[in-house]
Amino acid sequence: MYNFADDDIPDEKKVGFLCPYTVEELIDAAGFIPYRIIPESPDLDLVDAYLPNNICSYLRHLVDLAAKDGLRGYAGLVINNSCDAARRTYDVLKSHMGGLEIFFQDIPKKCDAPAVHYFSHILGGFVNFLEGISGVPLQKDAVRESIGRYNKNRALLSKLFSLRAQYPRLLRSEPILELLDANVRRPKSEMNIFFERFIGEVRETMEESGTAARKRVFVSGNLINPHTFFSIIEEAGGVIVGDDLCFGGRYFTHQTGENGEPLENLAQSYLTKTPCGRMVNSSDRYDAVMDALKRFHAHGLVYTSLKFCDNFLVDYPSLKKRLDMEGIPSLFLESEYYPMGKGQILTRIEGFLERIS
Amino acid sequence: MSLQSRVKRMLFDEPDPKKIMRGIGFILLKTALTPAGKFDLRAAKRFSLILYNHARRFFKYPQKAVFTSLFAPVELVHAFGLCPFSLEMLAGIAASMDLAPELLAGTEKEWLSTDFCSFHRAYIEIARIGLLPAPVFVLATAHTCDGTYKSFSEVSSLMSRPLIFLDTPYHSDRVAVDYLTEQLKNAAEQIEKVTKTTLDREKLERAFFFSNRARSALLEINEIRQNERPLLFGEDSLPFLTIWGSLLGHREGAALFERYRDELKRRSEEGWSQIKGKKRVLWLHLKPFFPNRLLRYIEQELGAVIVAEEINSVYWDELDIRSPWESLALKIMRNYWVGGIEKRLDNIRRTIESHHIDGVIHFSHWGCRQSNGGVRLIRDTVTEYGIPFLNLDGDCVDERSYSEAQYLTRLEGFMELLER
Amino acid sequence: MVCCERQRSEKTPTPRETGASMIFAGIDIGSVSTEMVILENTVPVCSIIMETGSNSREAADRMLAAACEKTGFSLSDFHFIVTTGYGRKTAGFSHRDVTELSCHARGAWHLNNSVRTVIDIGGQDSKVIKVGKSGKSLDFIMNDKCAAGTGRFLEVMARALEVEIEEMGKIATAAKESVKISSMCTVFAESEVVSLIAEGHPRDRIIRGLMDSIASRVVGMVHRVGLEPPLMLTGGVAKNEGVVRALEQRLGTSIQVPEEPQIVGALGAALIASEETAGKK
Repeated sequence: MYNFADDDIPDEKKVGFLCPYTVEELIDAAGFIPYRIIPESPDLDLVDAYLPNNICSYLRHLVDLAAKDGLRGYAGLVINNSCDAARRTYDVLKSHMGGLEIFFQDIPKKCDAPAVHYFSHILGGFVNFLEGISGVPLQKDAVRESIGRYNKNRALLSKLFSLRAQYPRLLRSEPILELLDANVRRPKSEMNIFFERFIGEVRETMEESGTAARKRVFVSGNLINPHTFFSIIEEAGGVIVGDDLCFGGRYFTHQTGENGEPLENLAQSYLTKTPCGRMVNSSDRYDAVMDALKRFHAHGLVYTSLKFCDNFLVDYPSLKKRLDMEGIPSLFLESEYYPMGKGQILTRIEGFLERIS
Repeated sequence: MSLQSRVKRMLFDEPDPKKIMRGIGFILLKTALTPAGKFDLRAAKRFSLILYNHARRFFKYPQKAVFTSLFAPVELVHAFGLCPFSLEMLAGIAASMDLAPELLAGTEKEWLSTDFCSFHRAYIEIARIGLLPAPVFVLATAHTCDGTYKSFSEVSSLMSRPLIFLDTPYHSDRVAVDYLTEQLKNAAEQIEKVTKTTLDREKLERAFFFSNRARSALLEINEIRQNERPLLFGEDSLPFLTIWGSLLGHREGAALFERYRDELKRRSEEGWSQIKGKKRVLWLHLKPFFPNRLLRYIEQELGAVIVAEEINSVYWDELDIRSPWESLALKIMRNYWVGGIEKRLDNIRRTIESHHIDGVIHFSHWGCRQSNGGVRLIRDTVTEYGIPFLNLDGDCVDERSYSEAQYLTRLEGFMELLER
Repeated sequence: MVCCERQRSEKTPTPRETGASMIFAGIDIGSVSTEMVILENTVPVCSIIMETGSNSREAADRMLAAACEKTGFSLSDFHFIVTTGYGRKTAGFSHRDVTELSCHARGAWHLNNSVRTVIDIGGQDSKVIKVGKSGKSLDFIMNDKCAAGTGRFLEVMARALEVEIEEMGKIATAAKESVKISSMCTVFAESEVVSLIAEGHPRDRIIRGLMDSIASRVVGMVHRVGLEPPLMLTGGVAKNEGVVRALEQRLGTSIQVPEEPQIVGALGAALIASEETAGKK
């Protein structure tokens, strides 16, 4: 269907990032490729020298990758203040992996006007960092153009997700996730052209409405690398009709103003998008989830998070109350960046699917 | 049934803040009647009286009670004549009363992850089962840790009381300081609305005055402890946090630390040497609050005396009434849990030098990622001085996984490193 | 199990009688096994290994009795006895107890004074110790909370696979590939092994995978303390060549295994005993 080469992007063009609150438009406007770090090796060999083992497994994989020199040659790396573990990860990388240019992007927890103002100041610092590594001043017009590209990308993704909910048997998780991964590792201009064509093709090959499909599952939470997890759900006989994961359903919920001051617009749109568990308006996330459950005709919700993630694990009891009130069955599963014990996950999913019609 | 079990049953079967208040009154009376000479330090009697009295006030006058997070600007609360109490310290006190296992078991039924810090879990449960008076409001800052906002938000919702939350920025440049300063000003306005009163500037000035006095006294105490012979055990100074966490800005907070300062000064001048320590230790982070002999073992049996603890560092400058909000903002932002790890490491370096430290122990409380994530860098820093570092894994509140034997070997091994 | 390298006959005069040499002993009272090493001055003359059983105090007494029987010494002949290990404080006749951390460092250094890191994998715990000048321990990390990465892990798996523990090393070495065991916990790993057998995976590959599991747990500890070659592996599990190979592969360096890896702690204790009285005469 499509084939994205992974080695045609030179390392020196890559600015690695981890979290969807990274304002990618600035990286793009500075002439780099925002490149989401998705460590591929399941093995952790060196990280124990740097981080304890009861800390986010994604960050542990990142540090392991960096320790093995896996980020050599990158133009830079952005770490966000997503959580306490990220702060310590930044400290460790700064101290021990000195060859890498790293920017720490703070994120306010609030999203009111003063927070937006503080965040736009942070983005000013980000601009300085990017200018430092590119050696070239960043023009406002370049940023506005990037914003345009990203707005388009997000609109296309929104359409894609609606299509998936309609035709979940056609738009299975594996190809969708591959597209989403490619989307955050390749130029948006290229991905936009691809998505337009792809969405057009899907609409042409419409099969009968997928709302008849049984066992429609919505996945919520913080799962950095959902490939295995989603395919287990499908193997067990369910279909994924939507999600609110960091680089899934929550990635494209905002549009940025294209006129006026770009940094302020970016600060505004990123800070007020459907929030991550770290933000004070977490309950807006529950509203978005409840809304999506209705829109996508989901039969049940699987709540999953990486182990040791306070921001997401602690939200489940509150979300569960809302789900219970609406009579929506839910399953709670902790996972790791590389999920182990596939059989155990499968059993729980199968048990859950038997509960939902 | 022992008194202990009777108290437990009372607390869990018929939770009633009024009963707790009466119970505290009883303990207060008992403490007042105990001669000061029975305590290791005379000031320790005062410590207990002040702590229990403050706790009793908190339960007796719920219309003045405020729940706060550790390192929140309690001076502001005192300025309104209200009574702040740190929920984390409350959890610690509950643990010291052996209540934690039941509290934590309760949270597990509610789907709360066991990897979540047990301090948070414990006080959420304390609030949920009705052991706390409904406060006027709840005050928290972001920088204690990720879990703080979640937990205080939950408590605020359980008690149906407003949450005033201060988003501590990572950075400390002008814009960041302004961001927090503005929030503090707004917080004062919010409190005025909630209490339907106006902030009396004189009261704020008094709160600053007492906070600054307590600060000076704490600074002097830390300096006196540079003394070549230990003048008190770390086990007796680690709990200082329970007082200054809630009573900075209150007359009693200042008075208490001045008492300690005076007594320690006297000991130093008289050449007091009843603590036969062999080695001088810096203790990082908190300690297990549930009943245990860990510190006694380290300091008294092994002879590794804690002459400094990170948690009692004075990291802030005097508060200035001429720019109150900025003053309080800077106080918050200088805390070494804010931002990157450099402040923490610098503090460790300074203390190793000033207190002639022989070895450093870090207590890795389960789930405390902002602290434990830094162990490698702390180890690197301590190693710069060629002295040994020991990381102890454990839990400050949950005693169910505590195994004394496992600690003993590590501690003895550490002692062997110190003695080489 | 009792084994002794050298024995004294009843006719040989005891050191006390000759006054020519001083006798020191180190006893490592572990949770699974107890070892004793006797030195004449600084030369090892006897080593004994036996099962601890359920009572460390009794084990210590039994060990002392066995040692005396084998060598003809009596308790009074020993100038200094150092006990170490889990039960180090239970032996009434001990002159001093020292942690197994210092004893392993000392014992390993005696066997090879260029050693910088000692990995000890015992029956129920594992530890990594940094060794400094003169065999002092510089830093350490212990795992005594979790069976994964200890001899217990191998015991459980040997039972599940119906092989002798002693055979596992050879089988693992001969296997061409390994099957990855994903479970971190010993109990769940056992279930996983049973499933793998049912799925038809060759036993030798599973065993090789298990060696890798132990290695990955231990290697994590090595990195936490800081990898500094040369390395030495001690403890009962060191006799398992499969584990040694898996560790070497993961650490990218060769690991020395002494001839009798189980007695290194007791040896170190005995050496520390001999140093205790260096100044006393």
